[in-house]
Amino acid sequence: MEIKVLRNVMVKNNAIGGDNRWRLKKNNVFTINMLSSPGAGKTTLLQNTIGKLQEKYRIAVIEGDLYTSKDAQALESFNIPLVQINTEGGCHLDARMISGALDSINLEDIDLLFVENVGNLVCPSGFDLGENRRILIYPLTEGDDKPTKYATMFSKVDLVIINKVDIAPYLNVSVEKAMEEVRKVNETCEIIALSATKPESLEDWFQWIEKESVSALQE
Amino acid sequence: MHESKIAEYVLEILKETADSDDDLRGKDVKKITFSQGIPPFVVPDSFEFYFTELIRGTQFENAAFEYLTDEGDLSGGFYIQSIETMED
Ligand SMILES: Nc1nc2c(ncn2[C@@H]2O[C@H](COP(=O)(O)OP(=O)(O)OP(=O)(O)O)[C@@H](O)[C@H]2O)c(=O)[nH]1
Ligand SMILES: [Mg+2]
Repeated sequence: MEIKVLRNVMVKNNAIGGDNRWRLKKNNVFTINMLSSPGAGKTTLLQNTIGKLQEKYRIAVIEGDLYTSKDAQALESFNIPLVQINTEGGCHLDARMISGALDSINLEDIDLLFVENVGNLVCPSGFDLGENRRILIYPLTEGDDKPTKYATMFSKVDLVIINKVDIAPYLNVSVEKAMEEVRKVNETCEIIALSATKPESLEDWFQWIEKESVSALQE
Repeated sequence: MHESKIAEYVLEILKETADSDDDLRGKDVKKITFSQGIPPFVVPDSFEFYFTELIRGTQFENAAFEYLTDEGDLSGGFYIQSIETMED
């Protein structure tokens, strides 16, 4: 006998993601899920972002990492709420892990929450964490053909940050070409080119956060 | 690698379904049919590596698996389509 089930398995994750989103919204927390391959510059960008925006926003960070707490240690000096999640080899953060992490943050005292996902350009794209915006850090060191090769990930984000533009001359790639490639797989996302290591190049990124934090909390 | 998590979700849903369906409760399952879009989100071999471990000793233990491709599905989801029980 055949019994129809017809259920998307991802509802198990997404239902919890929805709960997270509701909790965050209730507390007016704007949440950004940061995706990228390993070494793209997520932690570096966080360091230079928190330093600059700390006066304006009350910031918290959830650090996803396979086994270590290196990235959390790199942010310790900011004295902000910081939760380390070790996935023990798991290739992505899921909504249940975030739900547990939110339990240990006093959400009423937070305006802006960054989630640094595990470095991986494939798996995390399928897991809604309850974030307001998804961003992808795409460094030019990966070459300018990655958007079409990893189209699923590139097509599911609100913002692509093209990083490490300071070393473009050494890499035989162009920022313009990288932008065109992003556009081929995502017609609507915003694209910002910067160097996470150069604070003076981050102005557009800060403005994006300001603009989106306002609109996201009205959605 | 995310297949280990997917395998847990699948078993949760199968158990919920079986517990709420008189025709399925406690019956041995012959076949489970999955479907997904393009590009596929789940690699069957990797999924089964985890899943066969999880279902040991359950009513799903001896099930065969079938994977359908739905070319129109761009959602990135992974669906349980149907469950077939052994003939009485
Ligand atoms: N030249 C240059 N180097 C950068 C830039 N951004 C990051 N890096 C360097 O890239 C390396 C990796 O940066 P991280 O910030 O650790 O990258 P990540 O994405 O956090 O890495 P994982 O968390 O391990 O996935 C470090 O050595 C950074 O100094 C940049 O804009 N320009
Ligand atoms: Mg990092």
